[in-house]
Amino acid sequence: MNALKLVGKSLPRIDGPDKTTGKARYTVDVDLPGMLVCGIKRSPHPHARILHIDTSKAQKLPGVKAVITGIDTKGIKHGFVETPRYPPDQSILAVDVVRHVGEEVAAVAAINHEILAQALKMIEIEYEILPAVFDVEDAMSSDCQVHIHPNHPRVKENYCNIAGKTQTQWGDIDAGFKEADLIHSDRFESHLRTHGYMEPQTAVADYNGDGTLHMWISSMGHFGKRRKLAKTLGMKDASIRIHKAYVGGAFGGKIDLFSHEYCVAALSIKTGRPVKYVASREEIFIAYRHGQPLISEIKTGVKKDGTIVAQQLRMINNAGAYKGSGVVVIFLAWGFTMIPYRVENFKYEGYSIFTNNPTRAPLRGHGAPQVRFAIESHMDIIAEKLQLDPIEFRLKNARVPHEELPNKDNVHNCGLIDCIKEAAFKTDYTNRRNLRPKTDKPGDSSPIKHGIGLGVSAYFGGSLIYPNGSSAIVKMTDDGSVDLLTGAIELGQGSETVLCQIVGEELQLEMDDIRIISSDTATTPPDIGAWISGMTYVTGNAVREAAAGVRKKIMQVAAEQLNEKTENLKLANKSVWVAEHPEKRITYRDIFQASISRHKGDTIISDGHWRTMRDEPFHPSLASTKGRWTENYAFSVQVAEIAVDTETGEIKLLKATTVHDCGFPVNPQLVQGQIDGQVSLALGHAFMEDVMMKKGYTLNPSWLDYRMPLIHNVADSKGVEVITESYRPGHSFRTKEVGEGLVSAILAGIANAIYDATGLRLYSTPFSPEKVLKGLKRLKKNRGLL
Amino acid sequence: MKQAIELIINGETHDLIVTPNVTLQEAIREQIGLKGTKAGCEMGTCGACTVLLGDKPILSCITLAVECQGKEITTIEGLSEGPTLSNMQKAFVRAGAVQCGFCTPGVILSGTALLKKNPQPNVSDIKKALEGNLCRCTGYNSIIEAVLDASDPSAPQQDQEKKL
Amino acid sequence: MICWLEKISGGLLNSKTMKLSQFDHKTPTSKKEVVDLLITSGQDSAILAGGTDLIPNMKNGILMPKTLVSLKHLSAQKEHITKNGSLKLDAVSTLSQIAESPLIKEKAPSLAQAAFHVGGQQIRNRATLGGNLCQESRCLYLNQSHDFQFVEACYKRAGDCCYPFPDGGRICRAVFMSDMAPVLITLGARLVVLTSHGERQVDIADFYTGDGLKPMNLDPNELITSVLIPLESQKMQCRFIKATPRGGLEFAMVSIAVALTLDKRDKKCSKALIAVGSINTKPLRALEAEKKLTGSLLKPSNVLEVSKKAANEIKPLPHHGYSRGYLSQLVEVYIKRSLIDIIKAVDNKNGNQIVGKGVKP
Repeated sequence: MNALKLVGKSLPRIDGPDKTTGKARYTVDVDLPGMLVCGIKRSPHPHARILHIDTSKAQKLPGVKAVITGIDTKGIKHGFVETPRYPPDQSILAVDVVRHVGEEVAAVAAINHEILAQALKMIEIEYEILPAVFDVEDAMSSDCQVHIHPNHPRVKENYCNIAGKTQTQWGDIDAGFKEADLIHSDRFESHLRTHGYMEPQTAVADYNGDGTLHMWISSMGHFGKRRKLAKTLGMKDASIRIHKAYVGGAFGGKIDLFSHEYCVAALSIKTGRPVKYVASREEIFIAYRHGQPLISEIKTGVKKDGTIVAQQLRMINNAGAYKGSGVVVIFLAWGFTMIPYRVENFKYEGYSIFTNNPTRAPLRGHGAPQVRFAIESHMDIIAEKLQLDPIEFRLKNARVPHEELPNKDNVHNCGLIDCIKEAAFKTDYTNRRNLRPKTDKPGDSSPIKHGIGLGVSAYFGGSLIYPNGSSAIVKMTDDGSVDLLTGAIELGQGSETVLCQIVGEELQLEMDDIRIISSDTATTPPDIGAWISGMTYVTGNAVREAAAGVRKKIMQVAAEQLNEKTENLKLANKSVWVAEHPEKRITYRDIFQASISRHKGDTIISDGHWRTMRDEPFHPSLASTKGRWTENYAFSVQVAEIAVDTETGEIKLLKATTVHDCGFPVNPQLVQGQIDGQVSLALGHAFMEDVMMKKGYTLNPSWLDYRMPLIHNVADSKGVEVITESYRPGHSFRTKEVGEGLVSAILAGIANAIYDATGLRLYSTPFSPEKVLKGLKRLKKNRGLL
Repeated sequence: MKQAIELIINGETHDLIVTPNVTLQEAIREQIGLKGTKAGCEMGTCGACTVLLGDKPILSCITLAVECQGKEITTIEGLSEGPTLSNMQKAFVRAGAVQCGFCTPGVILSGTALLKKNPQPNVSDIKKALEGNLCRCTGYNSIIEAVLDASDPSAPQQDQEKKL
Repeated sequence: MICWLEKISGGLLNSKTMKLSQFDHKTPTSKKEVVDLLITSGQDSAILAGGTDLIPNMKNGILMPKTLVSLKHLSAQKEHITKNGSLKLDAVSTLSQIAESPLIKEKAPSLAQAAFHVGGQQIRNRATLGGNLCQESRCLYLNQSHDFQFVEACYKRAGDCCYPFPDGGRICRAVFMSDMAPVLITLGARLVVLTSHGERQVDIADFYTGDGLKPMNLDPNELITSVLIPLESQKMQCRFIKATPRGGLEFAMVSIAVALTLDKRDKKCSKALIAVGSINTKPLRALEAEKKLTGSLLKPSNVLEVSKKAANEIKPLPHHGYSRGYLSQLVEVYIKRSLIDIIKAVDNKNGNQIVGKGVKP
């Protein structure tokens, strides 16, 4: 990748200046003349039948412009997943039953917040309180008396509240276990945590006289959002225009269609005025979506030499009141289990279970953190039992380049083995581990114990989720600079910068010769959205193709003007010249004019498209995992170095080393930023973040009591690249992913490091001080020291 | 009871009519229309709404506008000189310390106030000055780098003796 | 069939989406005028100092005063030593001023430490000493807006129930979480209070009631004007540790304040005060532990005994997700670490400078 101009360079992000000066506009900053404010009336009960809603008093209050309830909607349901097997199950506003605290029942548009508050209080609702269930295993049990929804018709087990099931197997699981020299089972649990995006959930709608509904939404992908809005509003997609605004963080929590997005639209249509909704931070903590808590039960059979011969897993997800993305996370949990290590005989069952909690959502990693914590802890436990070096044990089973996966995908240039070796080497892991058995060294009076732990993870980059592909347009301007039109959305990951770098590489332009217009559903082409880590790979390739199309036209016109073959031409500095005779040259500016003159007014515009999995009709089956899934598997190994205060139970993550196979970095500084951010998220998950709920109510709905890492908790974070792909201008490229997959292995590494430091094995997150202290006490007791 | 107040924002005097229940953040964002000051929680728990009152960082979401009558306030918009970014702003862009950008105005103002008081802070000083600003994207590594980068190596070291 | 009818609740407007309800704002120019206005404004008035506790509580609808009497025109008299040697602090001093004051760092370093660890810089720049001492007590169930959760008002909200202790009787167990309070208790501070009848002084040891509903012995129309720290307290070895999950910004899990009068040569302790904050409805003194220390030599072996004794006698209220057992453990560990640090400092002749890494900042 030697002679690259922009790709591979840590160029400063193009939205940096506007974000540091306060100019960058977010949805929450959009104000329009005559704008009304919207508020939502929420259920105070985790499960109740709505007997009667009376909005008449609220409607009559001066200053209230409209009130809507479920019967005012078109009654069209929506869902994170909308397939024949998993049809949409959510109403915009509850009609008959509310199934979680905070569920939306009515919405009001008023001229100011004071009147809005009064109006919301004036809405009278009569509820019949129903019994509720919150614990996932209680909800699942065949004895459960609370049936939140009917069981999924295709799942025949004698369980309750089944939202969905994923199952798959290969090989012969019984034979596999018979072959094993050691069979070991573990159970792990992950707890409820949340995204903590800084910009609240917010949307603005402005319905115009020409029938266009203008919207601004803090979202993760406008095209998917628009499709769902169009459906539920009964409007044509093109009638809804979602405008560009920067997004103040999302981390998976802004994908679903939210009630408030529909409500501002419907209220704007009803009143003819702009309507804005901004959720309070408290509402976000109580009523919006958090991450997926998972129970992982793993049984693994291994041979003495460390070969994994059989693995059986059962994962249980606490989905909340509606299916949400729970039916996806149980599919993904299978994926995140089977990617890194080869297992000949395998059986997986995943259940997503309804409970009377708010519906859960993807949270950066979407199951991978929970799963890898479980598997990598399990791996270390087995390694110790077999007295194998944990590194060798992993290397023995790790996927190799070009290996075919059981779902018929290929791992292509898989860098896992190199990542493992590099991680061990860079951190001197093998020498620095505390070998078992762990005893207190005599004279060692310090309560602080240090430990080192390693985790392996894998993620994927790009899959088939609506709209399934991305397009881009590059168009030239008079002076030879270009505009890039892309539906890509900038959430902070640096997509705008990366995409411009790709354009610049194809056309040998400087960054300030490229202007990006992005994430506007009317003016920019459809885009896959900023989830499932597809941005750089899918949109990036579409953008590259569009730029390549412009390059082709530039060369063609230049060839005509210079009377030369295109092969003999070179391109740089907004000019094209004959290689052998550099004095024979033409500028982009003149090429632009010549194209108009000689090519029937062609102003040099080109489009590009990319769809991952081009030969596959659709996403693999969520229920059976059958079908090819993705072209890009990314691998990572992360090492955690920690200090445990054995008197207070507090743990500090001192250093995180992330060795990743992201393909190649388009912008190394942005990649490092993703690593740092995910390490931070992981340590929050590990030590301090916990959405505390009791009987469906949220006890800590504020940032005072839901503790996200502060600057005090920063860990030294080192990123090491294992480059497995390359970029060549004029060719499509494979990048993998780096935005989500790097939460998991470090979380697993922390769990293993705690064991290394103290001998304490924790089977559930968070690794809270209290849990650590209790565990240490138990250990001391078992060793006869108490 | 409406009151007429005067707020001096970034050196410009603004005459406003407010009721006492209007917070400084609301006055800045909604009445004056400067959107750089962000509302992350409106309860004083995240620092996104940080502005400088005089030279001190405060939380505008839990400060009443009427309490700031006649006072000089600096918002993020007041740091750049026309189109030229301040040293701190440039340092943030250079260090990659901006991702989603929502915390950025508050963090930059806290950092700017720190350097005014202590031109050569160490990492511990930086952490203490920025502990009231939440960031979910960067993990804070690049933020620390940016503030160090913006600090002035030629300024005399602060008297370290009595530092807590 | 349990029915629930949501109707308009009479009278008070709850806040919504974090917007404040309407109120009057008065800006007196003297302390006396403050008190006069509190009296004339009646029951529904409140003092507005820095507002860092009051405004969030108003946004949550916990407090809904109709009149705010602002202290903005009262400028803080600089901290100084009075004629009789007391360290006098103005109640409207900000916590930043206290944390950074060279005089306070010298004469009452544990107080400067405590101020330094409240909230973040932005809070410290507005929060006042008086406001910190008079903050509302806290509880997870209380500190929310209650728009659709915990809608039935609890005792603290003039209602009829308690969520965390439903069978606990008509008692509010909201925890008092000021960090400055336990420190001032160990320093034997006196509060100067301005009333309609003139000034009164009260020992801070008698200032806190332990009643979650009314945590302070202070009438609604009284104003704390200053805090006096006696001369002999300024000579004590004092320490403050705030145990927090993250090291900053938040309220304490527990906070520990220790003040000892020690003979520097043989470390014989002639007086000991140990107070724990964020532990119950008021700060608690570890009286038995103090007795054990008084008259004995301070050394590592009796440090362990003393801290265990303190942990046994201090009864924590579980709060904010922390269990009794865990809070007791923290009390024991941090008292131990404070005392060990004092030993190290005195041995190294560093006096009141914090020595050990084990001391949590």
